[in-house]
Amino acid sequence: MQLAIRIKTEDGEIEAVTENISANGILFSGESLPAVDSRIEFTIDMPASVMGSASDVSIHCTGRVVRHQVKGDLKQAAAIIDEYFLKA
Amino acid sequence: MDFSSNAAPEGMETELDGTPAIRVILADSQAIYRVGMKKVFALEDDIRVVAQAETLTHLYTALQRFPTDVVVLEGQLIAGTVNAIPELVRRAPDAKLIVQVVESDETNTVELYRRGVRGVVPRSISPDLLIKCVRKIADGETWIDNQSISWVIEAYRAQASSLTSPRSQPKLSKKELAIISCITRGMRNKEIAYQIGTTEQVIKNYLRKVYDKLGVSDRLELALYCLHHQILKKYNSEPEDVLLAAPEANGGARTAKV
Repeated sequence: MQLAIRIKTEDGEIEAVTENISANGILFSGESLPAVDSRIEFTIDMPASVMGSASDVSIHCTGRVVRHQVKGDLKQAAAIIDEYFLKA
Repeated sequence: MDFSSNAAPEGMETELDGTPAIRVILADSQAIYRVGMKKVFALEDDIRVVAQAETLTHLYTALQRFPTDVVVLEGQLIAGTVNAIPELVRRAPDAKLIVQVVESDETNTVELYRRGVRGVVPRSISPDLLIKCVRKIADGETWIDNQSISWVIEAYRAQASSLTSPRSQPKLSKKELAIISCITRGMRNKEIAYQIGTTEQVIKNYLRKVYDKLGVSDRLELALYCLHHQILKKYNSEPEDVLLAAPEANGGARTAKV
């Protein structure tokens, strides 16, 4: 599932697009990537219109980058999700 | 455990017109139900209560000790367990199980029949109907009401459909959707149980089934699945009574682990 997200890194915020997310981790692509072993935070917004809820809900995740890779002309980073919480 | 005073010794069951009596174990946590059912069955020449059990452990022991044709089992005794029915079937393959439930529920009813129960009856069943049910089931039949037949056939169709087109979306019951909706709003199992009006253990059981159906492993994947497939959009456009209240006013974030 491809979603546009903003990732908080130790060096500021970056824009990225998710390539794959599971309970274990996230693969995302972006112009600039956070360093391997650095901590990241990001929030996935889930609109009320899609989730059928009264207000928007979100998933806030914290994790750490474990590797970089290049696929075609995309620069990608894989991160482990250490913790998450759902927020309404 | 009460090995009933009127229980005949093994191999000496009453016979009526050459027909062996139906040997019944009453498994119920409430003595008043056991006493009541025993009195009901005592009037029938062809039904003999061989033992009573007030816990699942006692039932296992009774099944080991007494050859049994039918077990009348209180649904609450197996609440929160996953393998109790298969375990009972494994330990006593000849004993046929009737489960008494407080209220009919599609998911649980289908699951009970799927796991090997021969009959699901309401706790409020009339004595005459219970006797008829015991006889039919002892005779090898299945006792199932019209509503349950629909549920079971629907589950069978859904299963067949998912086998022939694996990409089709799994069918979720209204209660499962209500629970998923609560999960995506960050509610804890305890809070959901309170809102839905059931126990935390029941919510956990539902969640396991939902995870299996959708092929997800935790709340994060469940929420992402909902986002991707928009399964709650359709559900919430058709409001159901099972989903009662809005999210908590404090709106606090909650760490979400299964």
